[in-house]
Amino acid sequence: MKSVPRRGKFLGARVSRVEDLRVLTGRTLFVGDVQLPDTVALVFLRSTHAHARIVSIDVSRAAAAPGVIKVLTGEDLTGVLAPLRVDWNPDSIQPPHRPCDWFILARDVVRFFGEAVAAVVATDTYMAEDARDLIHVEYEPMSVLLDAERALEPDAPILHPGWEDNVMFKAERDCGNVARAFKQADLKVSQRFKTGRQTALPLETRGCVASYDRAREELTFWSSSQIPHVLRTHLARLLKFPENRLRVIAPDVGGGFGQKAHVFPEEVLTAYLSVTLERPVKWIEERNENLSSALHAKEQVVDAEIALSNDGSILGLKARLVSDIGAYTEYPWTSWLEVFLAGNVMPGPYKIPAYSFKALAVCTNKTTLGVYRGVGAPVATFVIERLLDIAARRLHLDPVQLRLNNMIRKEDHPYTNVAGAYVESGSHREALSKAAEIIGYADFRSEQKKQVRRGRHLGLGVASFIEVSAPGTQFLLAGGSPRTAGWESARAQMDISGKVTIAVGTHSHGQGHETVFAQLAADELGVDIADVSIRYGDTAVSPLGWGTNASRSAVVGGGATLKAARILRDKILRFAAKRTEIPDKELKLADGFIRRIDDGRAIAKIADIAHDLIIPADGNYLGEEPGLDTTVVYEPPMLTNSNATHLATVEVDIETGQVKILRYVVVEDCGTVINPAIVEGQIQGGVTQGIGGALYEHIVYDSLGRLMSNSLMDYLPPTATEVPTIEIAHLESPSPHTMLGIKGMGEGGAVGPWGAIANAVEDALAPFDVCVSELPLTPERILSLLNRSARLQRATVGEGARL
Amino acid sequence: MKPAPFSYAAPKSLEEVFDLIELADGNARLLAGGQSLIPMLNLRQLRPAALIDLTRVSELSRLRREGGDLHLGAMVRHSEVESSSFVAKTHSILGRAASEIGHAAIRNRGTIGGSLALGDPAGEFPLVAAILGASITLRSRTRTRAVSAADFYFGAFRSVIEPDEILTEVAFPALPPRTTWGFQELCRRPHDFAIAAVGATITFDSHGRISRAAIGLGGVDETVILAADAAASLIGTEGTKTSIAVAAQAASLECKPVSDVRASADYRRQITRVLTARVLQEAVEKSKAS
Repeated sequence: MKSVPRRGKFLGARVSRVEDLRVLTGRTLFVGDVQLPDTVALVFLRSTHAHARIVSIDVSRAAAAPGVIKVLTGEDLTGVLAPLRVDWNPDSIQPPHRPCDWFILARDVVRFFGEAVAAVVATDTYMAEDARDLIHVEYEPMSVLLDAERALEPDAPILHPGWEDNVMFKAERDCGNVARAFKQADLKVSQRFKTGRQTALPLETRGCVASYDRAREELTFWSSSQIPHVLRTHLARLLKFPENRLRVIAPDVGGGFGQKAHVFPEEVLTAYLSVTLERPVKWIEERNENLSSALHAKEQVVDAEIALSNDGSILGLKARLVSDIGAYTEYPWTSWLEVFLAGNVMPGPYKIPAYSFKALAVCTNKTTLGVYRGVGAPVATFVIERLLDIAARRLHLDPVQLRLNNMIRKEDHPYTNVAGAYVESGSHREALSKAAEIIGYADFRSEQKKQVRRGRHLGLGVASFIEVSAPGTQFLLAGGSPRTAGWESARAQMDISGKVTIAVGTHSHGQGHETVFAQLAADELGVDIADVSIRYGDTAVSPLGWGTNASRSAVVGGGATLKAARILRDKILRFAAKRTEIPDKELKLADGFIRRIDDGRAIAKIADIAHDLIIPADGNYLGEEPGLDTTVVYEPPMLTNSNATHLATVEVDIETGQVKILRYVVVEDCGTVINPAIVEGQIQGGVTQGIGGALYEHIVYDSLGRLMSNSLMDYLPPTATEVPTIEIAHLESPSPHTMLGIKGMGEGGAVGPWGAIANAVEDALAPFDVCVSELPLTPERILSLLNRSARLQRATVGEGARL
Repeated sequence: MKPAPFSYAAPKSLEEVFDLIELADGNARLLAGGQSLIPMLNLRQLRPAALIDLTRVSELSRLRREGGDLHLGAMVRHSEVESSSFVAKTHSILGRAASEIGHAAIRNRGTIGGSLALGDPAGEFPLVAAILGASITLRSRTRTRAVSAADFYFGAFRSVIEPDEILTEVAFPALPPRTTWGFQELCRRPHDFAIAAVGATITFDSHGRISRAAIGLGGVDETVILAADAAASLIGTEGTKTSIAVAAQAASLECKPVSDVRASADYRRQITRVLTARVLQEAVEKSKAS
């Protein structure tokens, strides 16, 4: 494996994560561990219908049950709590979307199985659930929409009052001369692709504790959230509660993956109840609730067509993407993020002179769609990578060579694609070549041929992509993102003993920021990593920031940390320079000392200088402002782009349809690597989730819209036995625009697997001429592809053709 | 989720168990390993008024051999069956079946009695009990009866156990000499619930022909079933690939699988044929080896 260069004492080093011991042994505070005296338990009664009118709700027996403090329905909240509603911002340059109301507790109509219909507050969860059983709801079922294409038909029932149809959002882009490209094409490949409905499945479900202090008129709100400051702003607005008296704490969080980068009706209600009851209220979500009532992800139907010349050059691409966004819209973003991003990133690392797409976000009676690791990129990558493999087969070209010929070259950077996407640097061809080298491409092909003769079916598939990360403020605002910016804050302090605290506005829920940001700060300030404490998650401690999503934290959290640390560094050097009369340009901070750059000689202890900047013995601050405490804001460039190639080899059992992944290779380029172990961890986690979406995970509804996959018996994340050792190599194409050239990469692991594995499976089944176009690739789906192929073969050959 | 209120008792003798059952007047559940029962309580799918824990009824945990038959007490844990050399000496198929049940933590608690009483059509022990022609002992305060595995289930999760009865032990008859077995499950991930499971025993005579065969199918019908036609087709053959294929095809036609969230009926039928062939191949290869 190509190793990552060390650029400092800690930059580039495989520092063991400081977070691990406490989270792995459970010796830390997750929201479920928050214990306050007098706490009451909140549980939700949820709809068992996908679409129904609520005729009546009888809570009388529940309200009288032992231990019950309050029972609420949607009617009780009318005029009290506003619904979650994302209005279109007319200043945005994006096309409008239709807003809808997601009531905190359903009012009049339920629109998805699992929608909250009533809430019970009791002295403990047992009592609350006993009482919940006594609530009687009368539903009048309405016709159920479970398919986006069906929802688009003119006679489909319309799910939201005032809407003309079920389209929440549509957008079109047309770049280059697509018509001419397709007219000139020697080969056109057209295919419909379907991806399954998934869910982020964080290890820790959602949960929150609200504690209203009536003496101070202050509310403290713990939530398993990725976005504490954003959550605070929205809670304050929705509760009409002064934001400066509302403190949000996102403690250790057991994974979010995007699901927890939202504000939920349950959070709003928990907060409201605490203020109303003037005591702490606690809600911890059940697993089956998380599956039915948090947010779903990914499901799209994409009709795509690619035009190529006979030598394999891509001439044009077009796509129609339809996203099934379920009943409402993710708050506070909008559920068109998935489909719009997919449309925008589909060209990937390929030079495509003409591209057009049409994207639709369509409502159905399913759980609402939210962002989940990769957001649109897994679908887009799956589509283009499948098209390229099909094209390669039809043109009798090697699939790897076809891609290499079409990729953006190193010397093309900075590259702007036909849709206006700017790519500052990257190593697309190099990553693909490296992946092929690691797998032993030529050897694999000969092994593959050999094994076919023995009745074993091996296949190889690749997928390459560009991962966008850390969107800047202008990009977000132009994209219609309400109430969020792209910059990030950090407050750096060195105390009188010379130890460092950095408070950031990002949030770490598995990413290892406490380690990574400490590495950056330790290098800048010349202290040991153990002397740097990173704080986040508490709005009373961290300066205003936008949490963690869009793989932003390394760039913006890291950038802000660097910026703040450098201000402290410069001040320490200036003060030391004044003291010693050595110009600060000739000094550096290293290993606890101010040292001369030329010979490394120690001039003074950093801790002593820190002390003297706070309380100098002679009382002389030498013209500096006392203290070492600074808060900065760092604005990243518009977008930062990483790239990677994933390559999978598989074996398919053609009798059962089961797929075994033999090897999985990732060659990734995220610019300057801060900690390769953490980068690798991110990839391993992302690839695991990608394998889930490719082969195992599938949200299934029955014909009445009831969720069938409502437990981990039926929704199947990959476990250690399903994931091979992932072989990872690093390339580095630093960003010319970010601090230290850092790029975000947290989501990429989940972007590649669908394309790589789907291509590998089709390659394994090449003798049977099947087309893989639908995920997840369950054994049953594979067997039915083979059965269909056998039937086709028998039909054309006549009798005697056997599998 | 939290269970609905219930009372809990941990009796030390069967007499006490019968007392508690009577006291609960039909609203009691017997707690063995709890690996299926407790989740159902937590999800409020079951709401017994009383939970009677059998853990301390020591006579239920015995393993013994009588004649050539292997007797396992109802409370014998899967992990014990899996690792027991006493069991492996004569009935190694039981250890293999046990090893497929869930994960190690589940096997440490789950019991053979609980598994048989539950009667999951995809369950490993119901399947092996059918294949081996086991005899299941049911006791009430007033009577003791033995029911053969073939007569034990009448539907998915429905057995002949009466409300006042407790399953106390299961007896597996000795296997004839020159008998080998095969056992395979198809799951999405190792140790998941089986989409289909097949087990078989075959006995060769001294001329190398199959004199006896039993093929059991799990998860592909309302209960575990024996594929009698498929087994019959093997008698007199030498266990060749062709005769195995014929038996496998017959087995796939003898079952009536249903479609559910895990798999469709068609897929289950196809897998039955594939697994039956593989299981028979496994048994034949073992006999060739020995």
